[in-house]
Amino acid sequence: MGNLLEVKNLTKKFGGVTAVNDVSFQVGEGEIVAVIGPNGAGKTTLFNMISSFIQPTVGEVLFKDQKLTGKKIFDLAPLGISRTFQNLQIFSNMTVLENVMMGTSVKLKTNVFSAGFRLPVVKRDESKAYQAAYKVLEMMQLTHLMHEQAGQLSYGQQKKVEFARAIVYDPALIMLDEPMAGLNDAETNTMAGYISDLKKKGHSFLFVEHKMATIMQIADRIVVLDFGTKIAEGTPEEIQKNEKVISAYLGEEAI
Amino acid sequence: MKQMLKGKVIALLSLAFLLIMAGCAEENVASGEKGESSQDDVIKMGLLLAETGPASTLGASQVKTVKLLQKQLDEAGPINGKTIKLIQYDYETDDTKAVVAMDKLLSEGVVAINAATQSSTTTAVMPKAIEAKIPFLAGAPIDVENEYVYSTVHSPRVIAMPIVDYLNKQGIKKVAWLNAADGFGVTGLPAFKELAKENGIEIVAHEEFDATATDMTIQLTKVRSKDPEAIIVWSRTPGAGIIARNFKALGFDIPMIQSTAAANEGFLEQVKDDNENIFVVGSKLSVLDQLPDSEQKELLKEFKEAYEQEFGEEPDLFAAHVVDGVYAFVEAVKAGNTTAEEIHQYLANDLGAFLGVTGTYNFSESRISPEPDGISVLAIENNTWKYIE
Amino acid sequence: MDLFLQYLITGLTVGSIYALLAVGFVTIYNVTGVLNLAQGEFAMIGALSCVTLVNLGIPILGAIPLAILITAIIGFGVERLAIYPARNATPIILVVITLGVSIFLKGMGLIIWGSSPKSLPPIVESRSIQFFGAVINSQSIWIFILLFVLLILLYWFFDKTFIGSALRASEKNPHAASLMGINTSTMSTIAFTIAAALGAIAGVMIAPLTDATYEMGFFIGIKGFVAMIFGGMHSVPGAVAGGLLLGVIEAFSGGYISTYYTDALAFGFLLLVLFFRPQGLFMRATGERV
Repeated sequence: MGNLLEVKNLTKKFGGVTAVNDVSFQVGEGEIVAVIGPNGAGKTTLFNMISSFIQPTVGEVLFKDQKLTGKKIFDLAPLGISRTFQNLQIFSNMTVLENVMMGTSVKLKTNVFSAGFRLPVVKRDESKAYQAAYKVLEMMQLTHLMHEQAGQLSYGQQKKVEFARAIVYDPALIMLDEPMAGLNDAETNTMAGYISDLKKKGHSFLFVEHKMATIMQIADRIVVLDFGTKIAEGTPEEIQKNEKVISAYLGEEAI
Repeated sequence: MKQMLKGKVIALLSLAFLLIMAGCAEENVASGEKGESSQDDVIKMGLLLAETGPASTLGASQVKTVKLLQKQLDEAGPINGKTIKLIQYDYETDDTKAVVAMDKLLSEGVVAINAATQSSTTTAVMPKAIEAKIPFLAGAPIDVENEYVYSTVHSPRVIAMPIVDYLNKQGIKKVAWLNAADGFGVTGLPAFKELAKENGIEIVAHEEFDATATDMTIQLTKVRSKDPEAIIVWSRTPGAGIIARNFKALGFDIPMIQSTAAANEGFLEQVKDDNENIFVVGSKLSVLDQLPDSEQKELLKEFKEAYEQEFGEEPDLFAAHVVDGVYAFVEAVKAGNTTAEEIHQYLANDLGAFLGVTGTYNFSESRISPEPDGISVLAIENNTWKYIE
Repeated sequence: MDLFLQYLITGLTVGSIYALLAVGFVTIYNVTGVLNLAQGEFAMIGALSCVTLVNLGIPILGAIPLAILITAIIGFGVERLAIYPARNATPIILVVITLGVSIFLKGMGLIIWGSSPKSLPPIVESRSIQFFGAVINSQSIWIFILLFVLLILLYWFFDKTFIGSALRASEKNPHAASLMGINTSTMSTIAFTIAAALGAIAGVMIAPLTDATYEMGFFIGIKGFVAMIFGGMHSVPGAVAGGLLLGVIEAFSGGYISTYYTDALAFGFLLLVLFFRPQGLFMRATGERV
C-alpha cells in the first residue's frame, strides 16, 4: 500500500470563483501533515472536500487506495477517518462522557433494530464503549469532568472533548481544523503533546493551523496554500526558508 | 417629451378600449337571459348544493332529492307545454366556488334559485339573486329579510317553539343554555330568549364550548350549580354528542334538549346505549310510522317512500328543504308563470298556505320560516327516534 | 368543595390528552428540529383506521396494534416524501411543509371516512367513576396510566440508550453526528415513524372518549403544541407536565372565570410564558457558546 491519503488535483469552483486550484499532496502512515496559508487561502474548503462535506469540481481523494470522493459523511468513520471543527461541534446537550461514547458508535455492532429490541449485544457494546471512552478521558485528564454537561465547559475544555471524541475509536487518519485556536500557551502545548503521542502509536494527522511555532515543532511536512493554489510543500526547515511562502504571508515588501 | 406623450396616449386608448369592452359585456348579460326564459319551452330552476367537501354529509341527500324530483317531473311531462329543468351545481363546501357557480346559473337563465346547503354559503350567494330580481328559496338558516328571499328552513325561533311547548307541558320554568361558540351555535339563544320571556321561563345559566373540544364537563358542572330543570344545547356534532355523554356521566336526572343540528345518525351513534332523558328537535320524517294519520303524514309518506325506493335509504330534513323549494316553484309554474318576476309575485301573493315536507308554509304571511308543524321534540328509544305526543 | 375537585380532575383528564400529543411533537423536534404540525392528524388516522378495522370484524386488541402500524407506515411515508426532499430547507419552510401534510391528511380523512363522528370501543368497558363527589371516566384513568408508561419509556429511550442518544445528537449537530457514523437521514425517518406511532396511540386512546372525526386532529394538535412549548420544546417530561398544566388552566379558568374566554386565557398564559420564560417552564436556561 502506498500512502494513507492521496489528494489528487483537487479543485473547487463556486460560480466564477476558484477557491481551490489543482491541489495535490499525500499523507503517509504515522505522518503529521499541516496545511497553512494566509486567510482566505482555501484551507477550509480543501478540508471540506477531503472530508466529504462538499464535492470537488475536479479531482479526487484516495484513502488506502480506495476512492473517497463521492462518499457520504457517515461513511468516513467506518473507514477510519475522523474530523474536528474550527467552531466546535460537540453535543452540548450531553455529558462529556456521552460525547466521547458517541464517538465509539461506529465500532459497535449495535444497529437501530438491536437497540430497539434490547438484544444482549447492546449491553456488551455499551460497556465496551464506556471503557474506550474512559481510557481516552484518562489520557486527556478529563475524567473529573466526565458527567458535566458539555455545553457548560470552558472553550479549552470543550476543544479537548471534541478531540477525545475524534480519537476514541482509533481512526487511522485524524483531520483537525485549527485544533489550537483559542487555546492559551499551556493548553496549546498539551494538545501538541497528544498529537505527538498518538503519532507514535501509528495514527496520521492532517491539520490546518495558524500557530507557526507549534506547527514547526510537530509537523513532519507542511503544505502551503495561497489563493487556492499550493505554493510550497516540504519539511518545516524547508518551508521556513521558502521565499514564496514568506512573501505570501508578509507581502512583497518583506523580501 | 414626445415619447412620454405617446405613452400617455396609448395608456388612455387602452383604458377606453377596456371600458367599452366592459360596457358591451354588461349589456350582453343584461339583454341576455336574466329573468327571461331563453327557450320558450324550458323553465329552469338553479340549485347550489354541497355534493362534495365536509358539508356533503348534509348535501348528499339533497343532491339525491334533486335527481328524484327531476325524474318525477320528467315522468309527469310538460306543464302548460313547458318542461321544467332543475340545474344543480356542486359548490364543494367552498363559498367562493358557490359564488362562481351562482354566476353560471344566472347566465343560464334560471328563473328561480334554491340554495344552499350551508348558512354561510346561502348568505354569500343571495345578493346576486336579489340584484337580478330572481326569487331565492333559501335552503339554510339566514338572518336576512328581503322581498325576493323565501326561506324553506325553520328559523331558530321556530325551532325553539317545539322546545318551549315541551317545557310548558313538563312545567319546567328554569333552564340552562349551552351552545357551541360557532356560527350556528350562537343563533339559538337570542331567538329562545324572546320565547322564554313570553312564556315565563328563566334562563338560569349560559355557557359556551368549542364544538370540536374533547370534554364539556366544566360547563356542565358550572351549570349544575344553578339548579336548572332542563338543559338546552345548541351545537353541531361531535360537540353535541360529547356534551350529551358528559351529561350522562355526571348523572343529571333532568332532560337535555338538543337542536336540529343533532337530528342525525352521527348523534345517535354518539349517544348509543346511554340516551335516556336526551331529546332532539327533529323532522317528523324520521318518526313517520309513529305519527297519527293526517294529510301531512300522507305527504311525508309519499316523499319518503319515493326516496327510499329510488335510493334505498331514508331522506332527512335537508332533503325536505330542497323538496319544498322545488314544490313551491312547480306550483308557480302550474299557475302559468314563466318569468322570474311572475313567479316571485305568485309566491309572494297567490300561493298562500301550502303544505311542505318541512312544514306548512305561507309566504304571504312570512318568508322567514315555515311553521313548526314539520318538526317535533323527539326522544330516543332503542337507539332510534321516538315520537312523543 | 366539590367543584374544585371536579375541575381539577377534568383538567387533568383533558390535560393528559394534550400531553399525549405533545410527546409526539417533542420526539420529532428532538431529533430533526422540525415542528410537525401534522401530529394531530396522525392521531386522527390512528383512531379512524382502528374504527375501520373493528368494523371489519377484527377484535379491538388486534385492531389497535394494526392501526398503530398503519399510521407508523404513513409517518414513514410522510418523512420520505415530504420532509427528506426538503431536508436542507430552513426550519420555517419545513414547518409549512408539515402544515401542507396536515391539510392533505385531513382532506384524505374526510374523503375516506366522511364527516360523521365514529365511535371506537375502549379496550376495557368504560364506566363513570365517582370520586369524592367528582366524576371521572375509567377510560381517562387508562389514559393517565398510558401517559406515564410512555413518559418513562421515552425518557429512558432518549436518555439512556445509545440509539436515543444518537437521535438527539443528530438534531443538535447533524454534521458531527454524521462523522460518528450516524446516518442522520435514517434518524429523521425513525423519528417520524415513532412520532406517528405515538400519535396513533393517542388517537386510539382518546377516541373512545370523544369519538373520531376527520377534524379531531386540529384541536388536540394545537393544544399539544402549546403544551410542548410550556414544557420547553426538547423535554418529554416537560411536555407531559405542560399538557397537564394546560388542561388544568383551561378547567379552572373556565370554571371560575368564564367559559367564553377559556381559549383567550390559555393562550394569554402561553404569551406570558413566551415573554418571560421562553425556554419553557421546566427547563434551566441553556446557553450556547458562539
